[in-house]
Amino acid sequence: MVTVLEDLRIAMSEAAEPTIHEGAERQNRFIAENLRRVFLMIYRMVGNVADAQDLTQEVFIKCLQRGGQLRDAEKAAHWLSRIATNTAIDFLRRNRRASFTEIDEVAEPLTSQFDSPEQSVLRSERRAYIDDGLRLLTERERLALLLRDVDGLPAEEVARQLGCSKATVRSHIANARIKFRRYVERRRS
Amino acid sequence: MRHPNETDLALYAGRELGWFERRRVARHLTECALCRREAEAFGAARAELAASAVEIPAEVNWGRLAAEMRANIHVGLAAGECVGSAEVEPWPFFRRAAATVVPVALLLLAGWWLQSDRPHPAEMAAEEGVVLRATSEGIELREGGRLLSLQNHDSQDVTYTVSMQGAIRARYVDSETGQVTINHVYAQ
Repeated sequence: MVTVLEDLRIAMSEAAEPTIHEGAERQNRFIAENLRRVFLMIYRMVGNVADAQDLTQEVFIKCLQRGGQLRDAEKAAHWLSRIATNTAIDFLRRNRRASFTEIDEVAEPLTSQFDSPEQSVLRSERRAYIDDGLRLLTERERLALLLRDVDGLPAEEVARQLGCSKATVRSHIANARIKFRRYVERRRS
Repeated sequence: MRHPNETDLALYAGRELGWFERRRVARHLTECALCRREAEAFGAARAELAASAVEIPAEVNWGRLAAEMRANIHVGLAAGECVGSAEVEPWPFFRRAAATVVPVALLLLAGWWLQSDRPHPAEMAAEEGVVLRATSEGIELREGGRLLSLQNHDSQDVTYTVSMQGAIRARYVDSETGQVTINHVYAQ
């Protein structure tokens, strides 16, 4: 983790010194451009909104505190993803499992202001359908599948992030795809 | 016809198979409709998962959540700056400087100490008590300001033996008599 943060610091300090105002502006832009992506990435891994919100905030604070000024936005976004994944994995290790929140359990169900009630119900059903499928996987299988198929990381990088061999990751990915595909077919029939 | 197993098809869908295996499965899929349908099903499930991943959970009002997170991030950064400016900034520089300067200073000090013209231990001992010493002239016995010496300066190939009990022995062939001579002096 320390190495990732150090690399991020280097990625963020490769150009001329901006003014305080420019720095704050870049910081806001960086948050706006990456917030949704990082939140979703963490949400898929930990499985509930409250934890995903806390971890997303933690990730941005970590990055921006160590990163200083944001210069190379593309590199910084890359390191941000890595920090997000590591933070979520650390959280799952501490808590041992992801807890997928049932929609019925949310105290104050909120809908997007742009959705019609029908759209909202459809989105809700679709989300629940995917979450049910992910719940069938073991934690390692789910993480390997999400990092590979959703975040698009190469298998070597997934193995590095999960701290296991590439062969083990391939096995997790294959098992996860088989289980998920069977789930999808069962639900369709 | 030998069909690829389900694991191979699952890995084929994500291009995780090695080159040779991938070629073998691809060739099989051109001939086997059953396996082709299986591989397509894996591809469709992957696509479905990836598509759902960009959707914000239905129960979330993203605008409100994002605003809340942005505010919390700024508060966290401001709090970090308060703590960081007081403690974090000066120490790394000081530690780095100290880590460089202290070993160099110790090295210079050790060099100076080793090179300095300090009194010989024997001379130091002379001020305190009896000192026995082998010189090029013979054996010397010193006590305070007094000196007794047993000389063998004309002789060559003198062998001196020093014992830890406080004695020196000089063994040589006397140049005048031609006799083997041994001087053994004890200090008490």
